[in-house]
Amino acid sequence: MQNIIKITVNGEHYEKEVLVHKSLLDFLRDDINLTGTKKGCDNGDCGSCTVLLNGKPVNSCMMLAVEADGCEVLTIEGISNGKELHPIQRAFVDSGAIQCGYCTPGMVIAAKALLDENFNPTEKEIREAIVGHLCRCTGYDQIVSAIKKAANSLNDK
Amino acid sequence: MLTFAYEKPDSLEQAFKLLEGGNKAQVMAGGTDLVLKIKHRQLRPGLLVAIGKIKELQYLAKKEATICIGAGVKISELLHSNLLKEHAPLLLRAAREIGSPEIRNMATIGGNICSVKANCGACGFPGCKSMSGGGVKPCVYASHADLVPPLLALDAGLILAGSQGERTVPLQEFVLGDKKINLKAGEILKEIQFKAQDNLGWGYSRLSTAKAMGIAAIAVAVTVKKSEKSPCSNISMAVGGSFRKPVKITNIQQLVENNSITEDIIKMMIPICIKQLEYTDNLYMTFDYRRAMTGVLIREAIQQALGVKDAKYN
Repeated sequence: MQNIIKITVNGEHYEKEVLVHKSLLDFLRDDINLTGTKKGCDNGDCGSCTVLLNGKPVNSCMMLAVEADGCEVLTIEGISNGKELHPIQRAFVDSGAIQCGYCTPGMVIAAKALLDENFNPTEKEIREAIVGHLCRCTGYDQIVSAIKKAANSLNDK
Repeated sequence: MLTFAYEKPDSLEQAFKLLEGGNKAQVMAGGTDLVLKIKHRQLRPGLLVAIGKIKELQYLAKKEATICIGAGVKISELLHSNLLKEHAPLLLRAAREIGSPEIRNMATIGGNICSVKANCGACGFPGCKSMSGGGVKPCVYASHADLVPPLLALDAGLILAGSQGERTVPLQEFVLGDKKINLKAGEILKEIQFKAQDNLGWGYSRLSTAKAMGIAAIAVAVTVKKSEKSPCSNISMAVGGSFRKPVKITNIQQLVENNSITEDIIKMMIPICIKQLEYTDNLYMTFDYRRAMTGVLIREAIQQALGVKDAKYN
């Protein structure tokens, strides 16, 4: 069964017919070809599918696309300013917080959600913010220091 | 995934009408549990009624000494509420344990209570229905909803609404154990209410396989009422987790009546509590380990409630 949804993704409006049982993740990846958002476990455990829905981070694999009707979605593609990396992305690159890269889009989105609310997070707050994200490469330390670095560089601006 | 019809009504009245239509209708709140169940083909609804847009379920208020929470309030909204920080710190302490920030932005308090019948895979047994690979064994891990123990300890009541009207049920009579809840077809959980937790000491302790994102194998919630004459006049305790049913502990009040809770009294209390619990199988933790840990957690929670250990909500 199909429903029509109106959705804004990275500032662009879409009005699309979508299967009701399709997750928001599959809609983003398959229907509008934004494959930056990753499908890890498809089960709500790994966090690599995280997107900002009306400014709040959610797991897009646990949400039906029809539920996002009328909402504003920000994915990893919408974070950078053209070819210029967002300070969080820059900090991830500089800190060596990316290895295989599969968790990175989710991590960056979670970091953005945290830094939008909290300009100067403590290490504990950073770790709590990325609690729902699995990274099997870095051991998390580089990611935490990247988010700290990003907070500093955002505050300097 | 099998397909189904989807409706997102604006009011409870419309929702009841949709639910009455038959067609294997299913209510969806945050969907964090339901969407996965549909993905794993454990549920094949004909019609999904999403209640996220219903304003009548979205409120948080204090009416005299009673806190009323609409069932559609999201966990993250609970955690940001100053009203609850002041009047229900025990509930928030448990709410913090639910999933990740992402999940808390989707999941609702009503969904958490009704998902005492959720499937989780937390028992770890091969062949479990909720593991991928199409297991068939029935769920043995039945009462892990994180908000149920604190709400039981606070003696919460629920308002269940249906097209025939509303009924009020104590939470104790709502969670029936073995994945059953006292919710009739066509009914929606509308409101959770409990007495504001003023002048009550409280404690919460929890054991799970993982520190974060873990499902509680044991969760203990305690409130202690202190009077001027004695350090304790009333104790209320509830335990949830890897049990057939979340339990509001009885028969411990007489031990503390006009008595201060000493180490000896806690020691007497622990076997009384454990006797009331029905442990279910769990591959990660043996019965003996969990029985021993139940005592440890009960002691920890009571000590927090008495202020021996710091239990401030932060």
